[in-house]
Amino acid sequence: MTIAPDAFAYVRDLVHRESAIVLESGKEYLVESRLTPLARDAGARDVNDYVGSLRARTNPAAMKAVVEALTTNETSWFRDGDPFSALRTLVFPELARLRPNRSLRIWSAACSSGQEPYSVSMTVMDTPQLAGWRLEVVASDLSEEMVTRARAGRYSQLEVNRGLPATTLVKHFVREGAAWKVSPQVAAPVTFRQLNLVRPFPPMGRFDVVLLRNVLIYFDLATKRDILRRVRQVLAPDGFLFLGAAEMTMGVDDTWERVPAGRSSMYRIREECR
Amino acid sequence: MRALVVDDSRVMRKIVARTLIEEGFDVVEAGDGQEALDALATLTAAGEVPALACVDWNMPVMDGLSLVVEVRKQPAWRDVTLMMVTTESEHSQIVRALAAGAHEYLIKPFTAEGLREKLSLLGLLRAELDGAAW
Amino acid sequence: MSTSLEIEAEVVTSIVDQVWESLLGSGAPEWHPDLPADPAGLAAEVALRGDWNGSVRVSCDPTTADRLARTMLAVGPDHPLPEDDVHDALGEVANVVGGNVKGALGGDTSLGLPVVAVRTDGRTPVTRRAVAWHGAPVVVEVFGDGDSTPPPTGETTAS
Repeated sequence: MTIAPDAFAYVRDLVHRESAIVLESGKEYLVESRLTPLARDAGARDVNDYVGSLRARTNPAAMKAVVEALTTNETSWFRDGDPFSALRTLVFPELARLRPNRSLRIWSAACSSGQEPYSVSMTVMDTPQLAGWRLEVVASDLSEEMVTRARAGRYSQLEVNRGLPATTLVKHFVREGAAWKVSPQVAAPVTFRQLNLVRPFPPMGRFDVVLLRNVLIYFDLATKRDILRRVRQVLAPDGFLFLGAAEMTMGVDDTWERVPAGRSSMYRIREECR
Repeated sequence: MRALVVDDSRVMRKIVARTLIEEGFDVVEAGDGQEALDALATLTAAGEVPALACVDWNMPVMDGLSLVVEVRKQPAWRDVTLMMVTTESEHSQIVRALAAGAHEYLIKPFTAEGLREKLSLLGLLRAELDGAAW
Repeated sequence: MSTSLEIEAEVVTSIVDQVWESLLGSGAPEWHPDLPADPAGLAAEVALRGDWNGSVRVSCDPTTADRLARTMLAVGPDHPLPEDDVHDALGEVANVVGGNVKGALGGDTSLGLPVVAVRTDGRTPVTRRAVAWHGAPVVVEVFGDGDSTPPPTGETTAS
């Protein structure tokens, strides 16, 4: 069979939204071959049928499976670039001025296989204003399996090729067999835990920065609002929130104000809502 | 923009070129370091110094590290971004290449997405140059 | 120090998986262990010399080699494909697997250029992995130099 143009377009848009990966025309064969097992498992007649059922009724788990099937489970380091530049050039210098106790707490709330929290740790190490500061990065994910993987801090050649400048690779990673491992200095401030955002958060204290990137998309509006509300409760009043590149609080929660940061954006709690 | 792809494997040159062409580059190929220097000289004489050179390490006649050293000696080629694309993956090898003047380093095996992300880090990704979101 | 190549099977497995993902766009399914996996045909071999000594060889029958090359080059079955390109493609698979074996071992070792020839038997690998490609086996073998014939006659570059 050949995947129908509108089914391909739907999958292409979904994958682009979630992963920045572009599936140009010519990749129809790839989409078909990667989705056929999913379609089969779901009892659909074929990939077109399967995609049709996804479009008819939003199914976050199925959408996630589709994206993962097409992006080979590799997430990038310093994903989208700008948020990490913003941390280094805007957020951390600002917090360095505002925090007399020289300590920072950061939450990576959908950490997946760990690239994001380790990228945060590396960014702190590369920010001169934070030299000698105490850092705690709490990293969490819904999947216990992901958390275990992330905690190990080991990555394959394919994974370290993803968005990691070569200078950063040699500075912050060591070889371990066929793989690369984050250095002890990068790993030390980071702790991992399993956490379901939909459930009440366990006591975690307040955070100066929360990264909630590319995960809200899987939830309906009411759940998004609820999660953002509870995130606001654990964020320091002058703290910063980062969402995924294509995400925004507009239309979801108006207690946040958007602060431009390169091509990406970050959010702070509105003055009057603090 | 022009790109030079240097690898003694024609198949690997084609694989790298595929992604570069998708990103809007005009690609010139060379099979070893000496051929690459000759190609660079020809392109320079025509006023078309490449923005990017993807360079394999292990090649006959002149290897990739030697090519990087030679390119970095020439003021005319100062703006050529040099990215190693190689199986050499020991920590010390990467350090050597960066110290010799390579700007980036892509380890084989890599995926097209991985190559694109390196181009993005180097500011050479078309979508970003065009001002599109990404 | 000059040691015969030794490497754990699971490291080779991980390397082969990644190479397949990168060059062939898909995972590397196991060739069924009960089926014979000594393909007559082509073998691409890269030598390792230095702190570690031995070689890495990738073998398959000529039709499978042709299929691998077509996948790597993203060309269809009707596209003319010279034999040189098929050898080149198989050689590059050996090159990337061999290079990553070298990287996993660490130390100061240089990788030779791939040599592609008719596959010959008689050596016992340190470890081997057979993967399936369109119904035929592709065999990846790591040899220590205690077992090898004289190094293939390929140039090695100073590295």
